[in-house]
Amino acid sequence: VSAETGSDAHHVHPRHRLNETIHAPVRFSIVAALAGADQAEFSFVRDAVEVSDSVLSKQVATLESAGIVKVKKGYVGKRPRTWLSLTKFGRQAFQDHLAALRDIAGAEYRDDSLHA
Amino acid sequence: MRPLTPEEARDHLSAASGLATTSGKAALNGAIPTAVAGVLAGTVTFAYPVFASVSAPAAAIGLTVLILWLGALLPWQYRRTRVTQRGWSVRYGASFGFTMVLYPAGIIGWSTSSSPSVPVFATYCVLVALPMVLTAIRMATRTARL
Repeated sequence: VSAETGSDAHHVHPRHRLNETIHAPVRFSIVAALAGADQAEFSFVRDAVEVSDSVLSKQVATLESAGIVKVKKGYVGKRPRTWLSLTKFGRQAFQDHLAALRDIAGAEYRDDSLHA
Repeated sequence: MRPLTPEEARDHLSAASGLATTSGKAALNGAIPTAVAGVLAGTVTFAYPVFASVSAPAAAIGLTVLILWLGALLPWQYRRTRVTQRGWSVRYGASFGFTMVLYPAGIIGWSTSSSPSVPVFATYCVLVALPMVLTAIRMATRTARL
């Protein structure tokens, strides 16, 4: 029992493992939308996240500068297109962020069982 | 950073789950051209003896054009779709590679050895199509998960 107590005393709360860049609501949604895809068009992400072009541009720029999202510009026919994708680092950062969220969500179950 | 309650954390996880699932349309965008490419490769392999009996050089040119076209299909489709399912290009590339090994091998085998019976050759042609068709089914039925 004392060993467990000692371990709990040194346990770092999962909130410290949350990624601050990803944690912002719009950025979290952008990264989540990209997590299931190889790549997605700018307009697809905009529609999925339900934000304006300017808001998405700004948040994507933040994610790009943090190395989480990769932005690729090109053309399909004569139309300019922008594709977004998660970098390898971004995918890992998002997985770590989700793991922290799962730990926080799970803490309530433990608390409930204690208070029951 | 503001502390997150377990309830909020669950909401975040739930939202992420919903957003990360690429649409059925996106899955079909990958699955359909993959299946078409596989079936086309199998059909052309089966039809090759007929074409070759008419004009062997024309059949060879036709085969080369088809291989190049199938190879170009991936980047074209990849750029055209709004969202590509995670792992699509890897799966397409791997199944395309398998089919492209079997496809010329069958034709070379048919040309150099004594002609196999129609059922045997037809079975081989199904094998040619199989990697891409199975990949297409997997693409269409498996949704992306976090």
